[in-house]
Amino acid sequence: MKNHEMIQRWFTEYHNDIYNFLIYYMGTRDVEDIVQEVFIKGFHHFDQFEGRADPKTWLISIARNIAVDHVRKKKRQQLLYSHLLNLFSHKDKIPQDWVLEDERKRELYKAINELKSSYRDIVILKGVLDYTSNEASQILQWKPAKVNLTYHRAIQSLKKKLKDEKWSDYVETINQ
Amino acid sequence: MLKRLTNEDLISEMRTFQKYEMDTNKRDDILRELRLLKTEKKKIGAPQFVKPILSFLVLAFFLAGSGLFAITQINNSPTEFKSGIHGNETYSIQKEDHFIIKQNKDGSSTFMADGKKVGGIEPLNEEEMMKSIQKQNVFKNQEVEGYRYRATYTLDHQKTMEVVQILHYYFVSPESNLRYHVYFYTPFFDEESADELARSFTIIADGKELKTKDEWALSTTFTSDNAKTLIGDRERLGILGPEFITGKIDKYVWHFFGGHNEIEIISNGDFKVIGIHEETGMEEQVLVENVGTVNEKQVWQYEIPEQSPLSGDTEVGSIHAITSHMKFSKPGVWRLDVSFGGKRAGSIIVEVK
Repeated sequence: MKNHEMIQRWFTEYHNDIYNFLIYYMGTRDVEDIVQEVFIKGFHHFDQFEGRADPKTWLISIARNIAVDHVRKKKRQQLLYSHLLNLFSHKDKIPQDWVLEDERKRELYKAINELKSSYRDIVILKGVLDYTSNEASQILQWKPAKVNLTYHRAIQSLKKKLKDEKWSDYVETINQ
Repeated sequence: MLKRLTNEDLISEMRTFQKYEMDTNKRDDILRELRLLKTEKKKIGAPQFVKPILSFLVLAFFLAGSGLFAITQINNSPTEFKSGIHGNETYSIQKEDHFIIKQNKDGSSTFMADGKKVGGIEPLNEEEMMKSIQKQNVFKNQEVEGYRYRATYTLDHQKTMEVVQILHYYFVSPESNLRYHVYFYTPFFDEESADELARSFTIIADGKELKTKDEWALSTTFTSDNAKTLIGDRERLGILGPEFITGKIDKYVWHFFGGHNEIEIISNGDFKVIGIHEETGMEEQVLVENVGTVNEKQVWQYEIPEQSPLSGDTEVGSIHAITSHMKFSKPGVWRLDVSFGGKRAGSIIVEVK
């Protein structure tokens, strides 16, 4: 099968995996164009795929690189703007175009986004999107031991963050 | 009593984040884009003639000497034909190694392999296209999407010794009334290889690739009978109101124009407006009801009973008018798709500042 046919097949098979990854990684639902970018980049760098066992993890790692680039670019533009916004509102908002369905998830997602970047990476991959340690290790190019350790620490850090927030009310209610 | 939040609580909570599925239209769009990813295209060009000019050229060539004519035929350089033909179209298709493309002096091209014809391209007018389809043993005839131009596809059963089927594509030029007939013989081509080539078919005018008019071209303004400026289409519908400004609620009057057919549509019930933001592709509610009250909210539609009396504005010259309030969440280009009780009344494309 030729490269472009391969990419089309992978798109059909994995587009929703890439889509969900980008939504949670970038915090917006407006990611379709980036999904397309991922597959076009995959096509142009097809030679780098060889030796990788799983196209899905390879594509996710491309998606992650593109997302990081985009966020970096956006940050520069939005720094001033968000600073001004914060002066007027004390509430931390998640992006307006995307509202998570329930309060608890919103709190949790907010806390995940406050983690340092390596914790956030592993929590989104292993926690939210349910990738195995093996897959996460391929995506992030970390050794499996590092994946497990970082995930463990990230969970601890997340727990700490949630304790003094609204989350404790929730814990209270489920424990009653 | 407050218990500790356990790792398990947290992990199981994370697992239940909602999973999304990409909109199928968007998915198909991307897939279409990906189909265009192929090996670099080499362009070949062939000119399209208007008949009188062709005769003139042939005559000119004869006058210049039959030698030159012969040379021109052999060289077949499209640029030589193109010069002097005003505003004309040429075309190109992806070149492949296993067949050659022979350009004919009438503007058509023939695909040749091992000395046999395996397909070709010919420019036709609408009538010639109808005749071309009529003489086929049509097995399939459908409008197809995903090509650079509006296209009709037919499958023609030949059952001769050499050709089993012919796959025909008819592409409509977005700028002239020409139809380009691109056809492939099986078994030399199969459906897939023919389709790949058909997707690469491009019409060129004045050195530029022609594109089918995009659906996001801003609506123009027009002047009503009483000299008011409306945005939209004089024959169907227009909006009268102030500039569109992000986040600001303003009053806009929709005017509808036309005759019997239009009256039937606009009497059909609820007035619905879907706002589609070009950049994000998101569909949003732009109508606002109960403005200035506690019940103010954005809605898809205003409820209107079927067969309500129409209230045209004689001064504007409209057959019906609806007063609305609208608000847009983002700046950029928006398409407003308007319908009454599910019947489409038209679209207006506006820019929101």
